[in-house]
Order: sequence, then C-alpha cells, then structure tokens
Amino acid sequence: MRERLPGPESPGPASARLEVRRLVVRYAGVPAVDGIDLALEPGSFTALLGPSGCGKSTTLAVLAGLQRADEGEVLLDGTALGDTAPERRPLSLVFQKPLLFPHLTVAQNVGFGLRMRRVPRREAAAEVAAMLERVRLDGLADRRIGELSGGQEQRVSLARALVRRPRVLLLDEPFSQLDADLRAEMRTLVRELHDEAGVTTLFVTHDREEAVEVSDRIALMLDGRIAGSGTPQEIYTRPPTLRTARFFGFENEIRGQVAGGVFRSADGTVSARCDLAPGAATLVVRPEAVRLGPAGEDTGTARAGAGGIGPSVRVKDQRFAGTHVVVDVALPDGQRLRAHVPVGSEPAVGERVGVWLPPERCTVLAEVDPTRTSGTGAP
Amino acid sequence: MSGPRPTAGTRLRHRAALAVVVLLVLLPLLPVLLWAVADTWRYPDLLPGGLTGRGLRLVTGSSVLGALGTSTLIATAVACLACAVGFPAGRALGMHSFRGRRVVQFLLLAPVLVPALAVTLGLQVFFIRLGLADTVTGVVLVQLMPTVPYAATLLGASYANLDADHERQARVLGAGPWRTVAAVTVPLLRPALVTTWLLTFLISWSEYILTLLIGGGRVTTLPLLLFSAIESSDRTAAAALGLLVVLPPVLLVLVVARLLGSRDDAFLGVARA
Repeated sequence: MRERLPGPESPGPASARLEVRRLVVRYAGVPAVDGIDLALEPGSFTALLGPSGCGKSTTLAVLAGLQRADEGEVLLDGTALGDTAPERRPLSLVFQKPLLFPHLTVAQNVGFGLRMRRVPRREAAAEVAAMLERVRLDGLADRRIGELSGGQEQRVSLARALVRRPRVLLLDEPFSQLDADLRAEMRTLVRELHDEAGVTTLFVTHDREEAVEVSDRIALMLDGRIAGSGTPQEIYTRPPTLRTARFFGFENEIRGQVAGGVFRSADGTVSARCDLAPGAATLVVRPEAVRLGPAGEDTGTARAGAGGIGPSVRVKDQRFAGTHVVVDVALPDGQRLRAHVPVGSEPAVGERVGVWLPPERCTVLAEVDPTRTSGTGAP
Repeated sequence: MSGPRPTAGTRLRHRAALAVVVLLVLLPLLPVLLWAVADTWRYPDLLPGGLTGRGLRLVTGSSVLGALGTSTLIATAVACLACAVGFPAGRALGMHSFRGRRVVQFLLLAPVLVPALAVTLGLQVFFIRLGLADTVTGVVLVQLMPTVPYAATLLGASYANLDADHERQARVLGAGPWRTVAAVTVPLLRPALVTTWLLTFLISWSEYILTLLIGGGRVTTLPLLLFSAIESSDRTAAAALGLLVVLPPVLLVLVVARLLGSRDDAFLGVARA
C-alpha cells in the first residue's frame, strides 16, 4: 500500500512520521471527526481535502493539541502524544488568518517561537534573518504588522511557523483568504519550502486544484470520515471509493454486477474487465473520457472485456462549456451518460451516436449507492 | 485604513471644536483658582479684594502632603488590584459562554447599582472584626467594590473583541499558558488595560464615603480634607484643596497618554489630541 514519495530524496533529519489512529471528536455528542486514520510518512506532503464542516480543521486542532480527542490517538514517530500541551509538541500550525502579533515587528513575530524556546538572541536573529530571506521578505524585518499586505502577512506567518524547525508542519487553509494569483504563488512557495526543509506537511484545504497541485498524497474527508486517499494521479484515474470518485468529477456511474472477473451493467450494454469478487458494483468514468462516434459503427466490438457500449444511443442534451461541449446521451435502459467532446465535434440533440468507454479510463468499484439508481451525477 | 486626508478647513474646524470643549471644561475651574488665592471676595465684587498665600501654604503643608501621599498610594493600589481582578473576570465574561453568565454579569455590576453606602455599613462590622477598619489596607479593599465592576466590564468587552486564535497560535508556537498571557494577551489588551487602570484610579481618587466609613477618619485622603474644608466654610482652603484634587489626575492622564497611549484608544485619544 505504500508508494514512492516524490519530493526530497531523503527526508530532513527533523521530519517525523505522524500517525492518527481511530480518531473521534464529538461536539455535544455529535461526532465531528468520526474515527479517522491517517499516516504521514516523514517528509511527505499530504493534503487533507474536504468541504467546510467536514471535520478537517478539528482534526488539525487535535494534532496541534488545541483540541481534545474523545477517542483514538496521535502518534509522532510511534510515540503517542496523548494530552501533551500544544507548546510541548514539535509541530507548527499555520492558521487561515495570519494571526500576527500586532505589537511586534515582522522580525519579532518570526522570532516568537525561538524567544519562547529561549534561543540566544544573536542566534535567533540570524535564523530569523535567514528565514525572512527564504520567504522573500528580507528588508521588511523592522516593519510593523499593519504595514503589510495580505500575502506578506501570510508569508510572515509561514516563516514564523518554519523557523522553529517543526517536525511536522500543519497548514489550515492558509491561503483561502488570498486572491487567486497570490494563492498560486503561495502554493509554489509552500512546496519549495517543504522541499528544502523536507518537513512532514499536512495541508488542509477545500480546494481540489490546490490539493492536487501541491501535495504528494490526498486524503479526502467527508462528514468526519476519510472517504478515500491516494496520490493525486490515483485519485484522478483510479478513485479508491465511490465518494472519492464523485468528489473528483467522475460524473458517470453505471450500476451492474461483477461475475467471473467481468463487470456487466444492468442492461448488459456496458462491460469491463475487473479483478473484483462477484457482486454488485459500480463503474465510474469521467465525462472527458467518454468517446462519442458516428452511429452505426460497431464501437461495441470491445463489449466483452474492454468497456464498450453498442451503437445508436440518442443525444439528449448538449451545452457549450467554453473549452468543451457537455453532451448527455441516453443509454438503452434510460440512464444518462455524460461526455465532454471537443468544441466543433459535438452531435446535435436527437442525433444517434455510438459511445465508447476506454477501458483504461473506467474504474469498477465494489460499491453501490443504495440511494441512487445509476446514471449521470449532477455536477 | 486611514480615512481621507483632512483638508485645512476641516482641521481648523476640529481645532475650534476642541478649543470650545476644553474651554467648557476649564472655565468652571477659573473661579476656583481665584478663590484659592483670594483673601476677601465679597458680593457683588467681580474680582477678589486682595490676594493671600494661605491656600498655597495650606496645600504645601505636611498634613495635606501626607493626604496626597495616602491618596496616591490608595488609588494606585486600588487601580492595580482592580485590573488584576478584572483581567481574569473579564476573560471569563468576554471569552467563554457558560451557564448563568448573565447572572454573574449582573452580580458584578450590583455594587455599582446598589448604593455603596448601604453595603458598606454592613461590611464595616466585618472589617472591624478582621482588624481592617481604620487601616489603609481596609480602605483599599473596600474601594475594590466600586472599581472591580467597571474593570471587569471594560476588560470583558475588550476580551470579547480579542481573537482567541491569537492565543492558540502562541500556544502552538511554544508559549505555555502563562507566557501566552504575558507575551500576547496583555500586549493585545494594553489599550483597555491602560484605560481601565486610569478609570479605576480616578474612581478611587475621588472616593469619599467608603474611605470615611472604613478609614474611620484615621486614613486621611484628599477628598476627606476637601469635604471638611467645605463643611467649615473655609473657601480658600476648599478651593486650594479642590485644585489639588483635580490637577494630579489630569496630569496623570496626559502623561500616560503620551507614554503608553495608542491612537485607537478613545479615552487616551482625547488626552492626546
């Protein structure tokens, strides 16, 4: 289950392995975090992705020691942290807001953690100066906090967290309050800083693109549980769970049965090879992977084993979406299938077309959503 | 953050408005100043008939200087203690929501709502029993009654505006609970603390009844001397003492405003203008 970690060849000496086991946090009896497991390898960069209210910030607060867990444990290099006070944990947390101390200068803010650790003044000053240079804020050391821009503030906050040389860096949506351009710039900076220091990083975000762009691993959190995790590539090509597939834009779900290593849709028009045990299953495929061809042509040759659909399905609807055209077709049994086709090659509504599902783009999951019949998920 | 640059016209108008306000505050003091140096000043004379140095000699005399010292000592102690008590109380009120917070809030304000005299008459018995009557310590303690409610309320309001995440951030950066308060919370609340300290100092400075009852006349503060001068119809003494009661707080506010004040603080902002 363990994959190669991109990023630094050898993790920094200071970085640690962080593990979360069966973590439960309840607010007034209602679980906000409902038994999650996480394992962050030393030097890895993991995104904890999820919509607001899914419990990801609560998880981070528990890791930082700011929130008590009701069940489960957090292990740092195999040692349970238990009720260790936040100031005694070798972690740094960067919040959504910069939370700079307004009574201190930029340099004093960055040096706060070192001062708390009673690092000798000259040594601390040198480290602060070096850190400010790394976040490209050299020259602003003596500025007052009120004179900084939003991006500069968050960079000071980042520098303040990193200058302590934490063994794990926790980032709680640190850029969500910045505008798009700045956010992209900060993402790059965070990734650079991570690669330099090799510090184990957990990045909480609700932004799919941000998670994919910056991290080595993504853990999707929904309703207090980890709905699935994997590398960004895995998640976009072979989603581990149905909920992960839905969250990452696998808009087409086709229900069927697996028997003898072959998935077959309920009406028999779609089939695909898979190595699942016999039983109910769902085939998921991204709309941009669905191919449409001229009607009548036998695109169904790949039926047995390669995931094809016979010719002659009718185009129900089509809509221009800028870079592509969204086409909805009706399968023989009435299910809708959505395809993204290049602008200019879209069929007209009512036209009959052939459909082909490239097998390497289809994922069969041994899960069925009982609340839903198959078809196109609403975007 | 700053508004549009004021034009010369608006600045002039602000200055004029400020001058009027200052004049309105200072004008009533003018007759007091005259009384303090007046030898005889009979109706319907516009100005005193002659001048005397008696007022000045009085306020530089040992008994008045002693009272000045006692007043300063008591007011300083009261202000410091009120802030010390009001800080955690304000924290509880402003930062945490708990059952019965409104009741606690009301109880905290009760000493200000109920006439202090009524409560003190009862308290006096305990103070005598505890040996605190007629002592400076006793007076300081009893003066916490009218000052702590203000301190707790003022600091509570500031705590409510404080972003608790600043403290969480400090903890994560390695500051223990006490160091967090010292290195982050107190500096963040500094304007409110300065205001609270000055306000409670002023309340204590002008306190009369409580000092009289618990101090039993042995703890002599400036207001006590002032009232006895008024009672004995000695206008020169009353005026001279009156000025002595008024001036130190004004100077204090001005000095503190210069040294510590920040522009966002309304109380000190006025003193700075």
